[in-house]
Amino acid sequence: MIEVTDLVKHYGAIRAVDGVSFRCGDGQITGLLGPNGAGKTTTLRMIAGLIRPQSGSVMIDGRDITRDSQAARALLGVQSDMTGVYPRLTPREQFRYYGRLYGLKGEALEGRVQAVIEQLHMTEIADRRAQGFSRGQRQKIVLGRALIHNPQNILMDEPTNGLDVMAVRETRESIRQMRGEGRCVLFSTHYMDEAERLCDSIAIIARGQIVAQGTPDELIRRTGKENLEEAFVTLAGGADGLLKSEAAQELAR
Amino acid sequence: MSARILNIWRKELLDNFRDRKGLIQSILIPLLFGIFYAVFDPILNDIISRRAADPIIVPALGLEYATQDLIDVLALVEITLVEYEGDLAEAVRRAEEEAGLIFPEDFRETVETGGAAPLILLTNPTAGGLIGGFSSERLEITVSVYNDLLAQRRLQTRDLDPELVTPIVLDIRNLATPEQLGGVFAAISLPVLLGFILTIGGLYIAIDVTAGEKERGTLESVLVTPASDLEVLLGKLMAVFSMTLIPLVLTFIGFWAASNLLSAFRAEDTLLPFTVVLYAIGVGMPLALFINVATMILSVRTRSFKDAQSAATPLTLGVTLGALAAAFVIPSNVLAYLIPIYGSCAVIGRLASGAVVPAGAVALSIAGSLIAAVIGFMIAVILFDRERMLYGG
Repeated sequence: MIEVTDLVKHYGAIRAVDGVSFRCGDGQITGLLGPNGAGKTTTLRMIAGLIRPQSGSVMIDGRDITRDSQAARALLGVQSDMTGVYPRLTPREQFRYYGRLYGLKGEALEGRVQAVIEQLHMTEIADRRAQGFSRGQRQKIVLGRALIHNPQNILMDEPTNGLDVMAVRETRESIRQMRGEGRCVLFSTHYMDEAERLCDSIAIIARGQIVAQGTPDELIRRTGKENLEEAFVTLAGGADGLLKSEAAQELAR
Repeated sequence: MSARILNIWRKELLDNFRDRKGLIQSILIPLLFGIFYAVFDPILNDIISRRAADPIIVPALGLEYATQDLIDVLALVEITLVEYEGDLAEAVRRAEEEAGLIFPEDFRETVETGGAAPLILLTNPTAGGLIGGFSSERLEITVSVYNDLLAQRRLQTRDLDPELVTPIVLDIRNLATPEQLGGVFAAISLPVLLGFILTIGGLYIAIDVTAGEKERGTLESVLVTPASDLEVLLGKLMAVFSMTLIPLVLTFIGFWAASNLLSAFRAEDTLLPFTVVLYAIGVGMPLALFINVATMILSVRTRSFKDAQSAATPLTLGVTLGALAAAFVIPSNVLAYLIPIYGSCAVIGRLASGAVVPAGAVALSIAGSLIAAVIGFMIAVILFDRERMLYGG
């Protein structure tokens, strides 16, 4: 379970994240939706322990990511929006490397490496160096290294961004599978149809604040709109709100 | 903790061993440079000494006015004079001839009547390229010897002792040992070579594991694992250090082997002792650690491989200058050996020249490098702030 409470992060006068609170339960997929510059990625990075919040807390299964950082990170798998891989290493070698960083060794490590390779249908490319891999294949490595230690909590930043149809379907299936295994999945996306199809719960962030939270149906009902996209635009402050968020992002840079 | 450090170290080594470009830059170039350095000098010396002993033909104007004595003396050192037709001064100026002699019409007569005979020696040191200019040098010395010979004859004709005009007889005795003679070149080249290996050998991997990883977009995925900043930094530093040791050991052994075994021109008794190579490696290891840390400090905050290469340029320059200073300036105080880079290079330079190194100099140079490395590592830990490093400017 991931619990985010009153998270605040300022960059000078810019309040990138301003008191964000939400909760992601086990066996659920929670979507974090927001326009560019709304504070979505900053929030995810604080949850992953990469950015220190000025105030507030992130608890991963009861462990504070700031105060008990190593223990909390061990309970979390992170698939970031950076899809870089080691081109001179095979996926199997990369999974071993990350597995050891998470403290795995011996048979347990080899077992997990093989399990991830099979789970992500990577058997054919598992022992090929990653140089020249397609974006979809690289994305599988990125997902695999987030899952290598079999974490209870998964964080995914736009996992289907830039993938072809087949890779998108596979990724979505993996996310559903994780939910089926009782894991807590928190992911961000720009695709409303994806959020509507996958998410059990959605938190909408705009101008650094959570402006709405609920199931897709609840959000649609609350706004009286026909679909999640329309509901999202309304909740994010309309077209004007989206523009303000993007302007804030520019200033934060 | 140690398992994660070893894991990072092992991965970085595997990754870099598979990088052909990195291996060429880190290992092959220093190795070839060392071998080239070691072979080039004896070969050049050999060419120069052979060239200096080769028979030479010198063009002359007014050869008919020369004395037979002078022609005979020149013949003894294999210098043959030939009559030149044309503008000899212009030919020497244009470097078509290395040297030339002009005998005035009254040359023989003046010599025979005991006067001061003018003889014009035309020279151009730029003729003959890098290893040219021997004709004029040999000519000058031979004419000078002939001059002394004539002076002695004239004094004897007048019943005067030639010692009257030789108040000082300089007796030069070269007391340099064969090791010192053999080490003159090594005393300059080894410190410079050390600086070169340590900057070039560790540069590529130091940048690759910091700025390179950031540019590839893999650093974030490492920093979300339970590995601490210290573990990540130590693992990477160990890998950089290990990779630097390879060219350090290979290049110095290659230098020694090339200069002592491959060169047929170097005399047996001027071989570079292998102990000097061992000292160079021993003193070079802690220095490598310091330079590795310094390179990582410079590259850890840069955004890309290219930026890091630019940031490391002043370090390369600093190391080279330190090594050059050690090659030419002998430490005046034993504490000067504590100065990182300079101290280590000075130890190697002194040992290579066969000189006695002051007691404690080796230990001080090692201590200086280690202290600098520890301070540098503490700075690196402070700079290795994940938030600023990943997303900072």
